[in-house]
Amino acid sequence: MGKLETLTPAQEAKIPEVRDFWLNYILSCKNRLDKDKAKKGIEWLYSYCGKEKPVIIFMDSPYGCQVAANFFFKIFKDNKANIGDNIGDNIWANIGDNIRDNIRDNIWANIWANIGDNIRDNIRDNIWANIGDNIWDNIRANIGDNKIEHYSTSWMGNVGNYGWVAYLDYFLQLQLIHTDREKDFNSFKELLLSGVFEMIQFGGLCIVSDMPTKIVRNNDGRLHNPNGPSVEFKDGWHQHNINGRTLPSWIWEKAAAGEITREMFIQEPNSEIKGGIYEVLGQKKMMDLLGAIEVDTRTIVHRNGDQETVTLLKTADRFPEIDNQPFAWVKMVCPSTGSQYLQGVEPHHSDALEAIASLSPFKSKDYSFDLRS
Amino acid sequence: MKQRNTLRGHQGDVQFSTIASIPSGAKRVKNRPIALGEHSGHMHVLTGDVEMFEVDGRIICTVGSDGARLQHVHESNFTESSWTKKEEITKADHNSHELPAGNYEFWIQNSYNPYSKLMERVID
Repeated sequence: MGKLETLTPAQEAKIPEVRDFWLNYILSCKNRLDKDKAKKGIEWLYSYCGKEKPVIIFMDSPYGCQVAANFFFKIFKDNKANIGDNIGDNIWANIGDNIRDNIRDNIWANIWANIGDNIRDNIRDNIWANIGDNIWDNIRANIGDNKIEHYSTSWMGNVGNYGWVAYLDYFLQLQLIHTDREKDFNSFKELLLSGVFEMIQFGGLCIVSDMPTKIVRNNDGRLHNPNGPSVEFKDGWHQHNINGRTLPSWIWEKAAAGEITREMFIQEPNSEIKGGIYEVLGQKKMMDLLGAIEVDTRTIVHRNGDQETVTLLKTADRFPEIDNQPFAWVKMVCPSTGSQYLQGVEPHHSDALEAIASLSPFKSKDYSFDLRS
Repeated sequence: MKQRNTLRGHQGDVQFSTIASIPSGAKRVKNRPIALGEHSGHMHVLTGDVEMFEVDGRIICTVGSDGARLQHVHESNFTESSWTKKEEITKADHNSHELPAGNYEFWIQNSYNPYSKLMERVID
């Protein structure tokens, strides 16, 4: 049989189905750790890699896993070897690499590259780059702050594996390839589908984290939530992010308590933290915090005869972290509710009409509507 | 009175205008909210005789001869069957607009972020 050269419409349609299944498995936050299924999968994993059956400790978060590992090693002085790399190498060589070679022997490059982009890379970017890596970086930083040791997590048996597993899963589900490793692959897949977020794999001991209970992202898929934690686990461990940047929780706590002052904002040396405060407080509170003066007011007569007053406001002060420019906003009124809205505008504006039009696809001369609400 | 050949509108953070034709390369997609509030549960939806297209991140809709309605609703008041109905659903904040047959492009209002120095879509 020759190599597969093209995909049928049904095979094309299967690409988003497989990709979305794996993305939703974590992003829906509806899947919890199934301890019996995870135990079966971990015992299979250790046995497959020639290791003795481990004692398994289930924790609610990756941070909880690190605390548990410290507890075992510091309290029990139980110096077990971290075998994550050994298990990872074994799984990749015997399952991942083997099936990938099979795909490359049977499927033309344009097909597997296309499916690789659409399934493996998409999932890797969404789960690994934007979520997993972000959480792991934050935990490493937290561990240092709390004077406990960081133990390396496994590279096989965590949510970062969803990309390559989904990629191979696509070909196997459609029976586009046949391999004697399919049973082993399915055992590994079932381990991931037991709700394991990650593990620390020691000889004779495996510490496992449950999945997050909450994930909030922006349109680019980056962790982002101006209103609270962007990731949360069952034990309460959480982190805060703005557009993927992990920021200290005190920003959200002080903002909620109304404790962020003008002096605090101005004296904060870290521009990322200032950017975080800007996002968390929102336009109205920022303007109230910094004070603003009216620069220009215009009345727009819309095509339907409505009149709308728009006002350009700027801070009197200039700020070094935004290139010694003032903050600037345009104020508008919602015709349905009468509420005033503020939107940030570029600081160079001096004309309120130009400023409001710059937020839309329309030029200022065309910023006039037949229908408004 | 001078006849205008475009219809332009504004509903909350969503703005729209009639366009001459569907851009080449636009792909028909399943109808979905034009904008979805992350925390409020509010959404801007175009219901009725509507086909939605996407190309290069642009949101394009064709309204058929039965017309359509641009609505701002809470997701709890909206079901799958609401997509094809032009009747008004309980509004969230903004009044609805009936749109006549034609091709439309929709945009979500931006806000300038002085820290990223980027225009970012407003999500209410």
